Amino acid sequence: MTLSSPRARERQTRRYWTEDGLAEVVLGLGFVGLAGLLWLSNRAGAAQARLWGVVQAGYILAFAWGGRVMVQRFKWRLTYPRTGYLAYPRQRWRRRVVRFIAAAAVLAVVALVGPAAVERTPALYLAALTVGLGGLYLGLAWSQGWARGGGYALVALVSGGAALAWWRLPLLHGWILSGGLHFVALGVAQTLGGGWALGRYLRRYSRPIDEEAL
Amino acid sequence: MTSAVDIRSLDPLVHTPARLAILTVLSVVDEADFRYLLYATGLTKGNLSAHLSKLEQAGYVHIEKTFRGKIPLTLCRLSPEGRQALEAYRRAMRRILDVGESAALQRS
Repeated sequence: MTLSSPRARERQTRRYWTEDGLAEVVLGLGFVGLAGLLWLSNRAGAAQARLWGVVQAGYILAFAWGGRVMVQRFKWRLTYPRTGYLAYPRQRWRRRVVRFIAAAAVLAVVALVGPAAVERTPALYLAALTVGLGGLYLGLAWSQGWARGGGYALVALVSGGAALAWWRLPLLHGWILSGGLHFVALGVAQTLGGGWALGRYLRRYSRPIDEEAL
Repeated sequence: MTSAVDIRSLDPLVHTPARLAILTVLSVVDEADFRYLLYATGLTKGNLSAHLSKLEQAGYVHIEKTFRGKIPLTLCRLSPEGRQALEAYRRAMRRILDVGESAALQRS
């Protein structure tokens, strides 16, 4: 038996979801897809900006649901036969409603106000995105002792800063390119980081554990 | 001596490294299967099985055998009694450590 403090054991259990890197690979590909959508919306032109805003919101919504299902399916095949299955406590009904309303409000802003706001204040949009994503990863890294999360926070802040600098250059569609590159940088970093974690996990736990009857 | 009394009052079912590890893991999840507990605690299958049986007999853990598709799953879940016992154990240990710490400070 490994000797760990109860607190270390709690943190290890909370980190289990990210241990195999599968969620990062899927999320990273999602970010690259989002960058692709930005590029397509740029090609479609300003007349269809609102339509593309709705498409982006739909993509985020579909990815939030579909990505989770995809990660669970991969986990059933790869992770659970090796290091077991666990389910985290479900949130209370009231908290789930509050989260749903908050997510719906953010998506509504993305779909309806986003394209116009980005056209008017792209620097503010990029800065908010950079700080929001960087803060999110930093919070996760801090609360779960998740080192790769700290790395993603750094990538988010550096690529966001670079995107802001790029936007200031006198280039055509600067914010689309810089915003897209920001998402690509985050997506590639997470796909590579998650792939590395998955490879390490599979090397470490190469053979599934047989189920033991109690 | 206060600390001696407290140590005697510790729940012997919880005051074992293996069972404390199992209860701690189960306290932060909704449910976990046998494989995960093997992985998280580092116990052998026989050892884990024996400790889980004891915890189940005490009513601290619910164990359910089920299948997910063709995969057998032995799901373990902390009962409200188990959660209370773990909390009581933590409180008691904290008290003991506080008493020990203040006694050491008085000596120095």
